[in-house]
Amino acid sequence: MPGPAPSPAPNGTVAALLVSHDGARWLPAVIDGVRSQTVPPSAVVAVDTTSRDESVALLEAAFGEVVAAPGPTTFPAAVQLGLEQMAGVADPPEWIWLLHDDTNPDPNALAELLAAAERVPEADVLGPKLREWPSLRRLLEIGITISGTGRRELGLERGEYDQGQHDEVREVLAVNTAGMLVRRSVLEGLGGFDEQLPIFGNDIDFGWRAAAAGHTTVVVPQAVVFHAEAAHRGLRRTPLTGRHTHYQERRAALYTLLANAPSRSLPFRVVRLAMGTLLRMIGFFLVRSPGQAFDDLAALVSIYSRPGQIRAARRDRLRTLSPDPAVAERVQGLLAPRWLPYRHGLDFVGDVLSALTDQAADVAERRRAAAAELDPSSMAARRPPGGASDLDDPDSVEEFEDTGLLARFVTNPVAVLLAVFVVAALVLARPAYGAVSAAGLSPVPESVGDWWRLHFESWHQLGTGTDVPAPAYLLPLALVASVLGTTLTVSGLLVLAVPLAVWGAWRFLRVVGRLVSPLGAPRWLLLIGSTAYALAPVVAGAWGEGRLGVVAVSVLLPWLAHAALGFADPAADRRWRAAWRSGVLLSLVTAFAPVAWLFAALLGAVVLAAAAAIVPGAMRDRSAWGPPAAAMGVVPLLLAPWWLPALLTGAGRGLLLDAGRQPGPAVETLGVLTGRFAEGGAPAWLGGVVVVLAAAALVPRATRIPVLVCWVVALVAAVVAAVLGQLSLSLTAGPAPAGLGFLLVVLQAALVAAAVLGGLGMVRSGAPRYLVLAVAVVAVAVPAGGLVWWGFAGGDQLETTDEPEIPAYMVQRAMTAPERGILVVRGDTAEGMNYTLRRGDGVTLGEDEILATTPEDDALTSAVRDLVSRPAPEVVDALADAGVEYVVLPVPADGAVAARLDATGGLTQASADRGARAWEVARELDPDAVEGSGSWLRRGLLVLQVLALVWVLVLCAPTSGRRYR
Amino acid sequence: MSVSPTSGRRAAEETRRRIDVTLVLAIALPLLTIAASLLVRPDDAPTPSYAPEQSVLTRSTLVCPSGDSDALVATTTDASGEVAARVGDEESRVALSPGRVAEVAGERPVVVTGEGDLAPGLVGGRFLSPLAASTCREPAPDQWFTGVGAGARHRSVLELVNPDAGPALVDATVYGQDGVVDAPALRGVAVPARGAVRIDLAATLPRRDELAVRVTTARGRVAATMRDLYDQLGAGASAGDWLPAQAAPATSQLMLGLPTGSGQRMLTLANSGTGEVRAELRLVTESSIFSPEGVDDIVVPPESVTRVSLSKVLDREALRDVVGIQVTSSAPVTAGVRSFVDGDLSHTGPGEPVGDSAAVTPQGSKQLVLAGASRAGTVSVVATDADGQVVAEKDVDVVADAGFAVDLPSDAALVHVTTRATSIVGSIVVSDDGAAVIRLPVLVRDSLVADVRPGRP
Repeated sequence: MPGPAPSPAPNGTVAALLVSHDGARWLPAVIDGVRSQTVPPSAVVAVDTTSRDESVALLEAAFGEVVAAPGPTTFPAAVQLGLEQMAGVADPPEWIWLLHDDTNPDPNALAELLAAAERVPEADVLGPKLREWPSLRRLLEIGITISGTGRRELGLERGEYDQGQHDEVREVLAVNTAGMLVRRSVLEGLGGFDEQLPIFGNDIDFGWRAAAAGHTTVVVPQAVVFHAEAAHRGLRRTPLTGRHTHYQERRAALYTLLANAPSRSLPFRVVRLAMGTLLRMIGFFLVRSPGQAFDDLAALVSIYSRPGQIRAARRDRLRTLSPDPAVAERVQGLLAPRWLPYRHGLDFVGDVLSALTDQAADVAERRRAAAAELDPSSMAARRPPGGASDLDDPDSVEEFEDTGLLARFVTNPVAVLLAVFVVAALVLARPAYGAVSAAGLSPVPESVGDWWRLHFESWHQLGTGTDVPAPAYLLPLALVASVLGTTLTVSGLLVLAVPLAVWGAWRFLRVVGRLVSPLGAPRWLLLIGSTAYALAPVVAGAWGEGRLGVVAVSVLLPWLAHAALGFADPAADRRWRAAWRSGVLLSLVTAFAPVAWLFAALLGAVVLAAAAAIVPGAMRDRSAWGPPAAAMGVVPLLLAPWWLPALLTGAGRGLLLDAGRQPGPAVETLGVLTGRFAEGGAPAWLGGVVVVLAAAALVPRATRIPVLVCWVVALVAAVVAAVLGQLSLSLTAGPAPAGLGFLLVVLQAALVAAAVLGGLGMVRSGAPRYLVLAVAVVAVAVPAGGLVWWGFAGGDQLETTDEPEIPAYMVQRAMTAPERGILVVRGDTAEGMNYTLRRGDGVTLGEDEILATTPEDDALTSAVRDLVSRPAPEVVDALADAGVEYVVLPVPADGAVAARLDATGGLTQASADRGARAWEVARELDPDAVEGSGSWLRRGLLVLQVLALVWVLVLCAPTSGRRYR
Repeated sequence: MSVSPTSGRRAAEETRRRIDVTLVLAIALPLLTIAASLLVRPDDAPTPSYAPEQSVLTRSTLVCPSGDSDALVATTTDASGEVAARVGDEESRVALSPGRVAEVAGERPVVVTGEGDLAPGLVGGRFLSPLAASTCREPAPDQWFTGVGAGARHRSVLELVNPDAGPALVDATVYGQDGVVDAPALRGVAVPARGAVRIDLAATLPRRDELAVRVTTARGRVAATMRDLYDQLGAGASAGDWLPAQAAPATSQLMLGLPTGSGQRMLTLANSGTGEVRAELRLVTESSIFSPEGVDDIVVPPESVTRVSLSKVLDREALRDVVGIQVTSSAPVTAGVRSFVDGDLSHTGPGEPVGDSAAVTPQGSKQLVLAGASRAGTVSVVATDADGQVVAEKDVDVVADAGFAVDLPSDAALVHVTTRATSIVGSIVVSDDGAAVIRLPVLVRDSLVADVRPGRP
């Protein structure tokens, strides 16, 4: 930057050019400002574009004659009129100082600008520092530029205060027309402002053109002008701005970019702006600003539908373009850096995410505030004591915020223990690293496309073909796997399950603690509670068996409960938003564990009935019972492509199963209470400790009611389990118990929450220290014992690879076409035989439930029976028609059956692993063997699902638009 | 906060009532929850096993090994008619009637095919002199021979017969004293359609230790028999008999029928598993089954063969009483007893429990030995001579944990054994010019249709 070297004073004169339109609100101050300049302009030319208020009178009183312009005169045209007016006088001024009717210059503004012009003689355009009017200290602009997406880049934080942090004269691409000091020769030489940009964006365009012509624009922060930004904020509406200021701004941005950008980058920009508009529209929809989204689209259409306009503008700019390549390079340097739009995108996503996660967190705060408002004398109105009086509370660690992060971490035993727990969980989860399969978990398909296909297809080429719908959890898995890949998705879920559950449980318990007591629960209590809960799927045996549904539910449940706390929010609109959020989360949980919906419905009914009994009038308000009902209603809507076809195809039993390989894990008597499956779980007494603590939690009187609420949840879960536990679902391949995994997790969650609340009650009611210590030691045994058990015995069943049972060459052939099935017949004549018809890469995750609930194909069963007992050529034909290329008897093969197949015409021996036997069906396979017709109903339901999902997601998203607070 | 006395009292009453309600709930809710979770009952139905359906047997095949005497065939049904008998490429019809024993001439292996009414209950055998006995058997996919020799003094010849029109392929695994014996010549042995292959083990894998051979069919159907020859040093002529086959290793096996006389007796055990096996020896007499004193457990190393001389044990006990040997082991093994008595070789193999069995027998004095009854019951024995005349008819009341011996007339040519309320293991010991042991086979009367259902994917 050029220093303050002495230079010849501008020997020319300055004329102020003030454009006004209905500015009577601000004009008195503006006129005052102009008059009080320490270096007053030699002349003031006022142009009024037919104001309907007393603007003209004010101006005339101040500056004499006012140039009257017709109503729809644009800002560029008004400036042009003013210039013409000046050209009329004998000694036209060298400098023009542009002022708006809502810009109030500081008394030194012009003096500083002129001084800068003297110091920087090459400067042709000078701009002041714009500050907000009337707040006076907030920075609005200190020079502007434009990003590749057309965003007006200010280089300032939102609402940044002026503390002199930007006070240096520097070259910029453009400055605002409000307070701009420009050489008249330059302004006229460039043809003034572009008429195509009536109000917005003509400053950037002008600056860009000036820079491209080799002129220099500098910002002079010492000169201060206060600006009301009346038009931009919609305070002023003119025929030119219309109702859609956003449209005008966006249109100006697109126009500026396309008119000024170098020709070689033009095609790229055209495509980029179109795609960018779509992306922005999605963003606007997400924050529920459809108006802005459509404004964006309209601006794009307006510009793209008139390419002639851009061509003319570009021709026009060629006239003044500097041929010097150094100039083009300098312009490039003045534009916003390339990465800037991506950072803005990231910021946007971050804002939305933090708003999403935070919106329920302060429900306790809001309830307390609402209670305080109703009854200022109540406990709720008292601020929780803090600072020195509360030093014995571990929470007060938060107060030492000035110490370093590391020091705070190391000196906080709870944080250290939490970190140790998370690291231990990550290490102990090592059996799940990489590709895994287990007793309850089929291997994942190679590519995520298989999952998408399963989700979208209504006819699956599995077995002999089936129209049983794929389970609903494939959609979230496929969404994640589209980014991470299938292996990493499943492995990641298993590995991160415990840390994620700790996170969710911690947040939930913290809010619940605050709901119950103004101080909230002590952190050590949160630590014990959340770690005990997070280990629930592990010690239950679900993790080791690879029961993905139970694991996913344990991760999601705290978030669902957290969202459901929003039903207790004092504000009705927040309750409704909680409804949509809970609805989406409940749908997600239900997708992994269909029993969840049943449970939620029953729990909702119980809670509403209890609420109606306690507060008889409460249920008359629709916003009290409506949100929970809406959350329940969202689930069938979002899961319709699964539920409805499942019921219609007779696979409704699948809606009561745990996800994964069937049969699901059995639960023994009391196992629901101790949180253990019949096999593979940690010792049951460890779960018994939780039950005892939860029962003991009923003792402290202060927290008895919230603990009772937890027990109500537990009771409902136990009752649902008792009913479902009576069922034995007959699947195609034998009986299976109903899936109780979800109820197991819910019961654990309820008991842990009860225990934590009871602990809170005990601590807050001033129980003796030794008692607190004794209870804490017993409670710590639960997560600690769980971890130790996990380290020694858990997760052994997770396998990184499946033992190949089928020769690789057969699988390779099977993957080439759906009709190349492999009939695998196990067992022997004496004990009974069973068969599976394997296609493609075998049964992968998501296909288990389809196959388990697909009705038996009697024709195939009888064909296989004939095949193993009295094979004849007709049986071989039937196999070819059913799409069977190979018949495999795995180890140990029944020799008698094998001998029969050896002697059967149409079957030729195929190579197989030692002890196994295999034959190839030497017949033409029917290429349509597993073809089937898709269902239009399901396609329609899928469309409905997508629409409903978008709708609900938009409804539950936080409104981050500043205008829609 | 100012509260009027009346409202304060009311508030206190309300508080008391609320406390009461919460107290009641605090007791009731946990109890109800526990009660509800007590109602969760696991589905404790045992995993069902699906028995096959029985269907009429319409075709059966018996294969008799080669030998320089006629093969004998009989039916145990009430039907009369003809069965097909093929010797090499020559096919002939053989007339059968109830109780009669028919002869099929030819030294090469004989394949007898019964169809229709004559398919069920077909029995056969071939007997040589000095006495050697083989039972004609259905082809089997998996057969074990224990106590095989491949040396100069003790040598065995494996005969593989393919009764079908398609080729067959056989794999044989050989276990020796020190583990699995590498025998590439016995891998993938092709047996031509309707042909036979004879493999002299002493020629293909000469070695001196005791062997066990597992013959598995990799393709088609094959009946395997093992002819065993034994030279006593200095005796000149060799003695021979057939080595009985066993379908699978077992943890408990009864070897019934020990020829009387003096000589050496050898028990051979083979362990095909990968862990060491401890086996216990028990003796079966006509009154009891007991462990002999001073006999240690037999340790069989993994994948190998161990042999134990029984001479001492049997000499010390009153030999006349002992009718068989029981071996129980910690893991499945195969077993066999070789007796070289009075210059003649005979083998006693593990028997299978039967409910209905029959065997053709050669001339000579015979004793039927029974043991291993599953529970107390009655065994009926009917013996007919070659013309179908009943020469003996006896009912034996059997109990578990004891052996029984029934003397049969020497002209009995067909012995038919049926049981009531029990199953039994049995052998017929024939002594004439030498001795031979004939195990009672399981008679195939039905064809089984497997229960087939969709499996778990």
